[in-house]
Amino acid sequence: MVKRLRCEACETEVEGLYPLPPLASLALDDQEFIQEFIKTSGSLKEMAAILGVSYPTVRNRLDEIIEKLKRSEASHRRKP
Amino acid sequence: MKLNGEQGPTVLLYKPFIYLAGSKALALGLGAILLASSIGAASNAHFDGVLDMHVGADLPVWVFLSEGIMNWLCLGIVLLIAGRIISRTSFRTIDLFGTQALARWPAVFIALSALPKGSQRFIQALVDQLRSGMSPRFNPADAVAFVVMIGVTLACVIWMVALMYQSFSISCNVRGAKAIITFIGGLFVAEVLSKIGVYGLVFLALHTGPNAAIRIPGVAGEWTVLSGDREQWSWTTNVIFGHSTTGDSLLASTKRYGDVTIVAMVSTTNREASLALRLQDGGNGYIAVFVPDDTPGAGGVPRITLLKRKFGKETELAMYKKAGLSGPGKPEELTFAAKGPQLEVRLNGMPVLNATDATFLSGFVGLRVYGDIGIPCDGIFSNLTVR
Repeated sequence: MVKRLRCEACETEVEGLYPLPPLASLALDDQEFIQEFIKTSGSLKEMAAILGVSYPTVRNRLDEIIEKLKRSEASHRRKP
Repeated sequence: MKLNGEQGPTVLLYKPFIYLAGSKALALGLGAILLASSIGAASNAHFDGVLDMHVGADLPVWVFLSEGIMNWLCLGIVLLIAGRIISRTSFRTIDLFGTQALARWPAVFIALSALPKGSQRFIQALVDQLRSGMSPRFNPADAVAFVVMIGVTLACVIWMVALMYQSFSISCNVRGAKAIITFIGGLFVAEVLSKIGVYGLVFLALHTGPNAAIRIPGVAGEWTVLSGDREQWSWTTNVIFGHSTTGDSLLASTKRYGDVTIVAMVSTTNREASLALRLQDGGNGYIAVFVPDDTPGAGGVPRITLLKRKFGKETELAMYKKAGLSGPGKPEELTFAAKGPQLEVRLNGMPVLNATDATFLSGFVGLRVYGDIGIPCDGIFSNLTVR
């Protein structure tokens, strides 16, 4: 959760409880993975070549992140 | 970016599929399967099941290669079906088949461990000595070769199973108890399927093609050519003809005997007509060589020689020479008997040779002709009995 938001132009600050978007709530490693995934236009083969691992290793990591995102979305929906 | 917490050389041995899958793994894995099968063919080490290795029959190379491929396919297909059922994600078939092929690479070490003949001699000696009631005596080097083979096989089978599970887990993205139970069940089903398939292959090899077992009218049992060509042997009811201009040719039983007596009416016009027993293969066993008088092969010395052949090298155990010993084409009753280490040769019922030798205590019985372009060999054997 984010507690405070600040505008650098007008220096206005507002306080409250602001939920992070699901992607931002992922671990840094996972975010880097998603970034790479987008940069390769979603090609798991290309990602496997870039990361020096096998195709199923990349596929499994993607599945893990999808699971995390689903859990994160579900928990957001549960909160008012 | 870190994709997994496991790295280093041990991961390459235990979980290589983190880095290698798909067509590369398939190419390497198929290479390893073919290599293991080819080495196995050299030592008659059969991979006769997904997790099995047994030293057995000398069969054509295609049987050994097919066994390796069949084991891989059986487990691959079973795990593919299981993976499609339990996995919650889509996965590529080539990853599962490729990594399953590569998971079999420890089989190369298993095949290599079976190469030294010492381990095979140790097993054969153990079986023979237990059957004959003799107190076990072993060549220490053979015993060491046997222990090494067992140790390497056990370690490599455990390693192979671990790799097979990792292949299944990574390729299908399944983990935990469900994955382990499914894998064990799949392994069991694949083992049964591969056993059925391999025995079908062996049956095919024994009953078709150049190595097919031969049934001779009037002669009990099945026969095969241990050395030489099948074309060198022909038969009519109760009569077998052997012809050779290319060295040694041995027609042998497919059944092994311990104490045994082989009797036949034998004759030749040019060189020899010989009986053999306790044959291990083309290069090991005992041969009673019958060379009658007035034949080009006799060279003026008609004789019956009792030979031991070990690793292809012949040693004379006893010789019976007699001027006027039979004649060209004249049938004589030759008997070759073995009881424990005692060997005896009889001509027309009369003992002419005996020797004591415990090198081979069981093996196949057979007929032998030996000739070359200069002096071909034509042997005729009739009324053959084995008891």
